[in-house]
Amino acid sequence: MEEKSVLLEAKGICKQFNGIPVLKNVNLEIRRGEVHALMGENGAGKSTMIKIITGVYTMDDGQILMEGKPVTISCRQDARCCGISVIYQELSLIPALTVTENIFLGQEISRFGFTKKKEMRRQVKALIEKYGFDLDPDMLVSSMGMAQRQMVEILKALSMEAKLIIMDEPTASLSAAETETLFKTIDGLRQKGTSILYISHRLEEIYRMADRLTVMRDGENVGVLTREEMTPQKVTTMMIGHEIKEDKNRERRQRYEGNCLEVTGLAYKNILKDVNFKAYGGEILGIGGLVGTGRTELIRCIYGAEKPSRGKITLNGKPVSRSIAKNIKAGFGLVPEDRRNEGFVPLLSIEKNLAIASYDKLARFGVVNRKKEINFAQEAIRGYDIRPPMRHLPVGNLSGGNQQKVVLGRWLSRKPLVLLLDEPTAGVDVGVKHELYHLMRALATTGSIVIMVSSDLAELTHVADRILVMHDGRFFEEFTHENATQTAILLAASGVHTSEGVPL
Amino acid sequence: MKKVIKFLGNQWGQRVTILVLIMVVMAVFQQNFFKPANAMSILLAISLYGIMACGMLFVVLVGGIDLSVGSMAALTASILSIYADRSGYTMAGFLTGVLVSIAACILVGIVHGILVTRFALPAFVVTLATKYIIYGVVLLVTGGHFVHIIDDGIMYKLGNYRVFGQIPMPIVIFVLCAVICALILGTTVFGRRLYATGGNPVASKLVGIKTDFSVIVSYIICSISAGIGGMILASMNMQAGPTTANGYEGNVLTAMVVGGLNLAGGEGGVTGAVFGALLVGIINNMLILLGVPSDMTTFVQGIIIISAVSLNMYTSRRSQGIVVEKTKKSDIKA
Repeated sequence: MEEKSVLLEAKGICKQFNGIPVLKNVNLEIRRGEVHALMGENGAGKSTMIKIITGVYTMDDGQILMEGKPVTISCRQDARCCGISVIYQELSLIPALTVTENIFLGQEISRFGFTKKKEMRRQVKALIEKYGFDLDPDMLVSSMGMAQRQMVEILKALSMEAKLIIMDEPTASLSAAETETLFKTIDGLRQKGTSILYISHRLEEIYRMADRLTVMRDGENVGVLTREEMTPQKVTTMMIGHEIKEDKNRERRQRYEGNCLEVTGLAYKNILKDVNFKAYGGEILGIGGLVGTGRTELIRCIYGAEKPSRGKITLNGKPVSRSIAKNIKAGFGLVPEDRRNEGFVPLLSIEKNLAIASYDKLARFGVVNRKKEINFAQEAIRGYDIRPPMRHLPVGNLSGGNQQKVVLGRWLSRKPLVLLLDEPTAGVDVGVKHELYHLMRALATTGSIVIMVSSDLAELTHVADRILVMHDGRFFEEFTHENATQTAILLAASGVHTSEGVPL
Repeated sequence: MKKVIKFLGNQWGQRVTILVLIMVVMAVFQQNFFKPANAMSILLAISLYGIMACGMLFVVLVGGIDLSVGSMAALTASILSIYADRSGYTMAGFLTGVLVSIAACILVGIVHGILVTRFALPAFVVTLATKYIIYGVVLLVTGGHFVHIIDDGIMYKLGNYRVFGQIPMPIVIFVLCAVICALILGTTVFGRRLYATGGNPVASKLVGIKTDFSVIVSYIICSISAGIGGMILASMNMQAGPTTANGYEGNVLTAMVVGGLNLAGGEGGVTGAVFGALLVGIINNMLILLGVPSDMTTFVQGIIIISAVSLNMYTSRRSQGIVVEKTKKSDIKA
């Protein structure tokens, strides 16, 4: 196979945020007509890299060459002129407009201020025919499914004569059949000479589509693999790097068999298929897997925030209610994934955010016992070291870590039997992270069940006593704390068994 | 300059500043303003708006709005007048009228609440529609005519009696309403949940709050307070009919906005609503004392709304916070 010519070359890209280097001398080379995958763990710098190529951020140092010529990309318009287009996870189409109107949005062909509809329609039609898309130029976007909308986005990119189309997790919101259609579209584009930069966490997609693969880790690129070199083991090892051997002989907590949460045959929409597990008091159960595999839905089902379509959830033999309020009384607590939107009330004070779920204890006949409320808050602020320790401060003004302490503290103060945590340390700085781990451990030691969903592999191997990895709506593999390695968990999340884990 | 902004950004700073400004103007031009009798007349003028504003506060706290309060007042005024009149102004007739009125308020509140929560309709549209519906009901009930009240008993006293020979009844009821509302918001679990619901409904649901319930009860409280206002108004005017309390929702909303309440919900208290009503009353009073023709007052009211909101927007901590968050670098470039 002849070597294709280079389309875009980024050399020595550096970028700092507040003095913290996010990209360190990153190189990226994309050839004409290839599907180039970009992989890396969360926080490896993939998104920053894309934002630099597309002109959202400016780089501190480095050079971008387009077809061998150096270009400066300092705004999105520059990127568009160079022929670079992005298709974001959340699409930017206007649902009330037709395909044609959306494609020409902001760059309508017009004369004397009147748009030339026929001309635009003709051009869109020509494009659709050229690439063989299954689209009608007059169709309303609101009547289309996700996959078709994505096609419109791609068409929009092509209408601007894009040579490079960047796709950020394009399959995240697609069904299996829709994914198949997208792959066909991508194949078609590749044959017509358009390059694709494909970002995804799903290894299987990468193996299927990518011609070459760049792996990033901690703001550096670790290497470029060609199609022949790509194996799951190699890719995961590159993503994770050298694993620090942890001290696995840490103090074990006692398992309280008396406190047991059991889930059998749980299904939810078409996300969760058949989930079975038991969690015991005294242990921190980690739930791993890729984003969007139903981990969040699982704990929301347990908590009563979603209604499972099938299956049984019992706590100590008794079925768990479908009402959140009843579950809280029975000893459940949830730290949601989206802290800002679901975790707390930003305008309310620390005190009231802490007390909000505990008025069954802090009030009588519907009237709040102010003294108890203040004590409750002050103990929590002291006990969990919430800073600044001012109970009147609105939680929206705190740092991410302290906000999370408030959300977590709200439950810890109730001594819950079951605490469900969804990405508890996302967006939290390292120091606070360890404080949160400490609080979780302390709770488990008292005999509570702690279930933690996390995408942070280091966190799973470090904190969890037992790790269940989800894949395709089921638990795929189980690891004990002693045997778990980050590589093995990542492979399990992609559907590859390893010797470290126990297949389920 | 920073200190000035900080002082003005504080709600009390704003309120004090405005009051001082008014006092200075009045001290120069019209000293009658400071007479105790004038204070009483200001309070009497705002007591109805104040009562209604206290109820509307609940709805605004959960991020809603109720445009039907004026028509609701007309309805209860008419119902009470008719019951009182037909019974020959007996106590029993009066009490039945009050109970039927309150029942009507509760019904309307529930309808508002359910349409807003279960059917997810915008509160603005729902209450705009019910405003017309309720006025329609008033027309049906009264036959389009005014009901005149001829009584010197309870039906007269409700709006005109002076407690201790000094304080008009409406002011007493206004103060009572304000205190009750402040207690509900400040000391009950329901109050806490109301603020949470308004501040972040999703998070509230996840801590086990029945947010729909909070919202429905808010609309009920709002309707009831409007209804109380209407009944007092009937007594003050000694008549009730289709045009009673016409356009009151505008005055109540003005009080809310001038009081510095966040119409997006989750923030504010009775002091804001009361202060807003008070300020509007003071400014209207000021215009009268200064001899500004009454045709000008509505014009000035509009100016006041815009000034109050601008002042709030530019100085309050909250609006600054939002501006900082929303304008990221990437957005400017796009």
